Amino acid sequence: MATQTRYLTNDSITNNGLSCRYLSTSQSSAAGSNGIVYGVGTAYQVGIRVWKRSSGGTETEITSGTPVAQVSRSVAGEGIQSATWNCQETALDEGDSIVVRVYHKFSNQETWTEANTWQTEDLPGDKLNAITWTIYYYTRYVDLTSGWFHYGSSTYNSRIENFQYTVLYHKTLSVTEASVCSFVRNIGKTLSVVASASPEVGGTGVFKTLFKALEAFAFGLPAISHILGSTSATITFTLLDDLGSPLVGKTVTFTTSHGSLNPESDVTDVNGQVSTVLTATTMGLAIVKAVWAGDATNPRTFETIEVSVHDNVDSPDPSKEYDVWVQGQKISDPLIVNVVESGSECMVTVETDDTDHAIEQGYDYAIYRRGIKIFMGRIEVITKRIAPDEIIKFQGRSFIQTLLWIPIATASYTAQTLKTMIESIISTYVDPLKQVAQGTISPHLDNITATVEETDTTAYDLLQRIARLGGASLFVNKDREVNIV
Amino acid sequence: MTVFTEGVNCYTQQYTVDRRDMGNTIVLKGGQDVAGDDLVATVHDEEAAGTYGHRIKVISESQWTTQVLCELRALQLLQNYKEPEERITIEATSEEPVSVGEEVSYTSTTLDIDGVFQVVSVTYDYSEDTDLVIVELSSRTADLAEFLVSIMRNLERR
Repeated sequence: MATQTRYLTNDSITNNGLSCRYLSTSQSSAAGSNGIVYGVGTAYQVGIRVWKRSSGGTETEITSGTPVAQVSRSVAGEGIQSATWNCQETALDEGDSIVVRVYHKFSNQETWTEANTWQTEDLPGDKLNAITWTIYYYTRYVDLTSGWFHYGSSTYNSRIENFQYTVLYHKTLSVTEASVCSFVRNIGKTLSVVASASPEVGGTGVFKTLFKALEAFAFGLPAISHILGSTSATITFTLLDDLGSPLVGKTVTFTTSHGSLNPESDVTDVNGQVSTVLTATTMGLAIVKAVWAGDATNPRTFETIEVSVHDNVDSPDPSKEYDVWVQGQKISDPLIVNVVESGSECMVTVETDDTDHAIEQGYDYAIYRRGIKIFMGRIEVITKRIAPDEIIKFQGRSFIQTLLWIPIATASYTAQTLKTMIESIISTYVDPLKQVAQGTISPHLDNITATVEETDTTAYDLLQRIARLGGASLFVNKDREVNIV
Repeated sequence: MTVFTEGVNCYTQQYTVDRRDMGNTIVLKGGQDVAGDDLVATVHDEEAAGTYGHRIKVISESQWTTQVLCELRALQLLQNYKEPEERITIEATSEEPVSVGEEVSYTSTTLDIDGVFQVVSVTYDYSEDTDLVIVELSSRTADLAEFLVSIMRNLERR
């Protein structure tokens, strides 16, 4: 959940097909104003209307057609005025932004005049929360004939406080740039349970179950940013039996390797779902684990999900030949950046003597060339060279690695085109996890029909097998899209 | 067991942690039992999953023809793969020879490591001035292919 102050700045933004002023989390330095002139001295009134705007440019008004949070100035003067508005809960889709238009008029006018329009970037949240906004307007009433709305500086500090939205899930590196943040959506996490007569096979902590237990395994890798000081993500797990039916009324406990969880346990509802909220104030990688102890019928089971908490949003330097960002922190002057693309894999190795920033296993990292992102991946190998100089080398693959962790118990396709199979695999096993999105699937794969049966495999292996049947290659690009061409 | 202690009989050149080939859920696809049924054994390490995230690794070894053997082998593999591989390259100053595949003890106070590792490769550089022995250690059991590569590499050096 993110609670913010959104400033009516004098900066510009072009987003979702609309160019306007930026409703930003920080105030601009140069002030702006809009005024109206009227011949008769009456009260000067200001209010706002609010919309959500989709990536396609469609606006849906959240207010109800007339300005809300109105303030009024009936004598000459200027200064900050405030009013409140109860924002209603509003679902947000991928790429949605919030548009706020300020209107003003004189009290004896019937028609409101639009002063200006402000818009946020795409919000990385799933819903705008029901909460009371406080809107601060800097108004000026001159000689009882003209009214002015000022904004855009610390003096003319017009703003909205308590602007709040809930972040349910992000993809791993989504927070690093607004366009990817739009992928942020619900990820159902499944704890499947299968009957097993003898769950204990090995030592402590090791138990046996069937592979089917992971059939619906959701390897969610959301990313959140604590740029606001503290942030949180809601995580939902689903407990199912071996037939896929929800287990109701079961207590699931949660633990995390980073940040804190509230609650630390929850009881499954009618859908077998339990939820907890992860809160983190520092960057890191949180492995959130849910455990159900089992009962006489079903064995103990667990599942994990990884939440990547970035320090900040990457802000690459366009003047730099190469810019390296790890978990939202800039790595100073990397010594070597080696990018290797070979077949399905894109691997990037970075050497640096920058020991000031934390470089840890599992952190997201991005490579920019002259400000343009050329790679995003996750650190898998870290080498610390001790002598003669202390140098850290880290290496990782693109997000193709996430396909490796998606198990598929059984897949059976009879006399279907390769393209149909690929799309089915992606929609059934990959899409719900929101790790990578479908990119380009070569049309020629629609001309090849085959029968494929596979058990106990992974999304990566199955997609690779089908791709090879059509002489195609599988890769995941910097935008985390699965391409088979 | 040979003991390497940093600063005493070895110097650490580099230390690597590699989580690419990790699996805390091992699915071992074995052969067939006497009834002709396919054998599959799956084992988990919940603690490792909680530390590193849930990682699945599917391995096929058709030589296992009973469920018990399959499960035992799966547990063995789990032990080997449940955590990231640690690799250490040291410059040994001791005269004591070590062999590829041998287990050695390695202690480093600077890296805060004290454990048993397997020798992955040994490189001997002899000259009039110095005798240099570079030993590569790993926390993971090397497979046969790695042994062969190391042996071939050493044979080529001789």
